[in-house]
Amino acid sequence: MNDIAGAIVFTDIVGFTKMTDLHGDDVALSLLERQEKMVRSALPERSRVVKELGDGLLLWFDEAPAAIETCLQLQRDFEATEGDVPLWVRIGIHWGCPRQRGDDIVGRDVNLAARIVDLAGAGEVLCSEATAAVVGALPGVEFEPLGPVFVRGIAEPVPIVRAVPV
Amino acid sequence: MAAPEVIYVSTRHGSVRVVASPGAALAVDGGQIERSPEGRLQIRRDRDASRIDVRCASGSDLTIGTASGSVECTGALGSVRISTTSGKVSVESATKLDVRTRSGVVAVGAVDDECRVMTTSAKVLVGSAGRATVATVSGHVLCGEVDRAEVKTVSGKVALATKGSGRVAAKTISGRVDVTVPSGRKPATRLTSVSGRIDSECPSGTDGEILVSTVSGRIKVSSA
Repeated sequence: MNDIAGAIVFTDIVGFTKMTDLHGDDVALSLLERQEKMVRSALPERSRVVKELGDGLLLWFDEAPAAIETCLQLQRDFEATEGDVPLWVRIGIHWGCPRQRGDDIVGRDVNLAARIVDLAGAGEVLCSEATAAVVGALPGVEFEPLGPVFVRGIAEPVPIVRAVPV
Repeated sequence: MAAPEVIYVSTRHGSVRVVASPGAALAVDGGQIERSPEGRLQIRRDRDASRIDVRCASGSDLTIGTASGSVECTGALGSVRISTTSGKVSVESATKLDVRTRSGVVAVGAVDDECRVMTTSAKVLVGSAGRATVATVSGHVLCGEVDRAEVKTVSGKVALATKGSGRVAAKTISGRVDVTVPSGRKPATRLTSVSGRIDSECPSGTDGEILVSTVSGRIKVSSA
């Protein structure tokens, strides 16, 4: 299989296990459905849901700017969504060349994207500096450097930035 | 005038201690100052050292990355970014602060501008901040004196003391929220709880804004 370059995106519902414990499986299911429905309806062309991962989603975008813009818009939509239980999602993005395995993607770049989302808080979009470099200047978006960060399973610290709407 | 150079401190293991004082030259014990391939001014821990001690000038900007171990910053610093997994993080004073950790305690003295703390279960203590942005899953959040705040937690308790003029927002799922406003202040409040009890002892007015929503937590707004 050939390597392909693109934006690897992980979403993760913050505190999902705790919320399930507090409010039960019906609430958990509704959060999952709300997240998936909103994400699928927000995805532009040349992007897709690769797979569902428990309380998160693995997404693929051919274009890095589209990934950033879509994820920032999703955070605004998540924040504005109505419901007794809020939908708090964190998002991590890495631009890389994963290997394709059927419809799935695998490899170091996928692992790194998964680690980046671990660093994000509710409502945040974090991405690797590599992603920001590919994006370059993007109107309405600033990238705040958070510095080289040690992440599990990756030997060298990874420069991370926070995408912020301005 | 060129922006002051950021000091990067990286160590996978071991603790980091930073002391800032007026006019101090950059000096390090337990580590080496070097230029990274990207041109960064970087401090790396010596292989046999269990801790990096950094002395720097007041107002220095720092980015500290560890995988585990405590981080202690004393003195008045500039913009500070800290990422770690566990261990205590303490910052006495900074102009701006970003902390990311999974667990432990984050203790912050005073931050002029934004104090941003993202954690899973760490207890977050903020003495004062221009703006506090805190998100936890289960960690408790205690902010001593904030002008503006945005706090989200699933089950942690939240206690905020406002300066009485800014916008303070707290959202929890089950965590209790206590907001204290200065005596005599009359904030605009919007307090919502699906099943929790709401108590507000403050008369309503236009002295700042307090927005609290929770699913099952209790909300209490009181005067100092």
